[in-house]
Amino acid sequence: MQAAVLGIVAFTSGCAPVAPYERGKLAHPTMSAGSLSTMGEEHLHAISEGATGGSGGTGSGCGCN
Amino acid sequence: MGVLVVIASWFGARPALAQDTSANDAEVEVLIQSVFEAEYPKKQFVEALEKLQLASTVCQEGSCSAKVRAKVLVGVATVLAGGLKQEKDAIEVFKLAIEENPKVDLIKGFDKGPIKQAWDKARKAKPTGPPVVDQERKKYPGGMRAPRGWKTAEAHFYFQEAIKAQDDRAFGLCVGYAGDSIGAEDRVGTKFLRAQCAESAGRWVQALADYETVSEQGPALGMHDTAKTAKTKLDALRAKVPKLVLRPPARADNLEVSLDGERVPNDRLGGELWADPGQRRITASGKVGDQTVTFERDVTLEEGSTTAIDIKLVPASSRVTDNRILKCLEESKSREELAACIGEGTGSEINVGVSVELSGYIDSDNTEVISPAVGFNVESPTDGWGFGGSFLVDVVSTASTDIVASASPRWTEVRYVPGINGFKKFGDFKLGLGGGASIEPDYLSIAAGINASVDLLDKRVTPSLAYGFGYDLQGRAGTKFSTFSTTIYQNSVDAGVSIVADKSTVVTAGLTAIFQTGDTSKPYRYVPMFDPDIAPLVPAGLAKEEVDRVRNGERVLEQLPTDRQRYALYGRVAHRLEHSTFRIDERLYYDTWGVKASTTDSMWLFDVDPRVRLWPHLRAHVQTGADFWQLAYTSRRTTAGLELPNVRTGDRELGPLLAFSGGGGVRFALGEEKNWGLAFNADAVYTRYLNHLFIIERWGGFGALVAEVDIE
Repeated sequence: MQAAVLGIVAFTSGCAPVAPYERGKLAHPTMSAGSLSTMGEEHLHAISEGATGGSGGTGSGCGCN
Repeated sequence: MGVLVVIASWFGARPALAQDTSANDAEVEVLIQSVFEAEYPKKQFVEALEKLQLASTVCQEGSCSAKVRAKVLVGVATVLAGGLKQEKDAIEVFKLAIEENPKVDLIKGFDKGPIKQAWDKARKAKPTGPPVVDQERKKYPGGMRAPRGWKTAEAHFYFQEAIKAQDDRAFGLCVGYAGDSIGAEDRVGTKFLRAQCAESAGRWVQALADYETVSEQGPALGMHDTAKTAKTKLDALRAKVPKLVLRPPARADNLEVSLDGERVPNDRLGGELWADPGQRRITASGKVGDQTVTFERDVTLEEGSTTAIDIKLVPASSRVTDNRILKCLEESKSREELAACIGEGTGSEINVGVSVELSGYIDSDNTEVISPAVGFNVESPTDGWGFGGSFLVDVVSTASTDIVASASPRWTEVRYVPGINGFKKFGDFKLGLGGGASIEPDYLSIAAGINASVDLLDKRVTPSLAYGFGYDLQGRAGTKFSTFSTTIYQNSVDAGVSIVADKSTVVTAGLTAIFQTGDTSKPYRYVPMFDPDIAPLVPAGLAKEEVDRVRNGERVLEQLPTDRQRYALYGRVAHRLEHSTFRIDERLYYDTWGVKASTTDSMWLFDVDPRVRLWPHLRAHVQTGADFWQLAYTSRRTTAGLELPNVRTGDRELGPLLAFSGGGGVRFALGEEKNWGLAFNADAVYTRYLNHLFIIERWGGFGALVAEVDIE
């Protein structure tokens, strides 16, 4: 955990400061921090791959897998 | 505070040899005006700041006067105070504007409420330059007697007024009255007074001249102390007075150069001139042939600096501008048109979004799925709240794509998946709740979760934490849950962070941990057993008929471990280029059943047109099998009974496999305001099973059609 925090601090200290009015590109809809997959796509991945997680949140299960 | 650092770097830290021009003043003023006619009234505050940022970019190239630079800063502070309600930042930016041009004022029509409050605080906190107060001066009324030592009563009257003004710190007025007194009677003492007031008023050139006179003439009049003081002040002022070098053009007739309206003799051009600190305006005119050529430039002179200005005379109609982008922005009439220049933003009171999706899947394993879904979300960006919901229906030919349809009877089943979520922001802190369910005749899953995130470092870093709880009931079709079911509990935690790496890049990373307890063994999945002598000879992909021929007679149900911890480490990079976005995701997975996996997903979204977006999509997933995975499990009949592996499974997704998806999509923005969207994406899916019975590979296709609308 300490290594992760130090890593984040080190990484962000090397990042360029970005003022609010310089974030036009970041506000583009394709720049969302979340997944751009459709609901059907996410379900397909969930049931056809043996791995799960990484969506940044939690969801309900199903009897599919 | 990050705002202030960047804004200060725009205009504050300029080298002493900086050269300014007002060539782009008109374009930048039009840009500022367009911000407060278009974006600001529509509450599109991010877009407003983007435009002002562009104006600052132009000014950074040294092509704006101090007057216009100050206006840009006032524009930014107005958006901060009036739009984004960031008073503290607004005050600091107003202070910078006042520093840039003490005479700057608020934008007409945007000078009330929180904007005025921030402006007033900025003005109170910072003196507007040197305390120069040039009020109207009194006239000598006449009829007075000159006191001893004075030749004229008039000179004495003005001298007294100068003293009063000095006591009141009205140094400009003091200079004026002292000048009036010297005009009536030239006295060294009055010159010394004028020098002191001029120095305090920032009129250093006047002060230098007077100090020099006093230091030279004072000793002869017996004013030794005064002369000595004047000499000390003269030396100190000489060291810090700004020096200006005006280099004349190579050829120009009738050249006339002025500094703040005062003519500079041509024989002084090219040499060092003393100039008062602060903003100065240099103008020049001349003739080249028959054409009148002019020059105008504002320059800010700093203490101790030496500034050289090349006087480049140009025809009055000639402008040196780089207004390709400026013109593009000026002509933008909507957010999407602005996006074509510098990208989209957000900002309106309440946004409502509705989407309808129809997706389908078919594969070579006789599985077909149709999934219609609807979703909605309501959000108030300015008030910081939102909620949404979704409802998906899965109509499948088999309950899942993991069961070999040819090995078991086909059936059609319908699964319902409702979901709701909501969030509220408290300053930089965001709290969200969510819940969902999956309802089938033989499986019920209910989940709820809470998530929190906080914006740090001027919203450059956003760590988040989520917890979810799931309660699943697994039964058998046709049998009530109360008669037969197993309960599965799931606790999950997700810790992530989103980082703004630079103006075009967002990096997201995190860790998901899922702790699952309960028997997840499928009540329909039978695992073929083989004799220990035969199992090693069973090849991967052996067809059902051959399996039936060589397997043992018993029908053995799947049995999985009842505890499972699952971990996923994930990262995502999204990078915005001029007209496209590249995204790549990576997930590394491990669980206590021994499955290890890597999943890589990438998309490259191209804005080929303000209304059309295209993207290719690639996905690759590789995984090992669970520790207990076997191609062919063995059973043995002994005197004690049937010996079986304690843990056995036929779940294909627990075996080693490779899966690849490739495809793409297209989205059309429709409607006058482009708030309707119609998107279609499709992927071909190939899965290679590396150590499985019944199947070696599977080809599939997935497609989704999405219609969505945003209403503000």
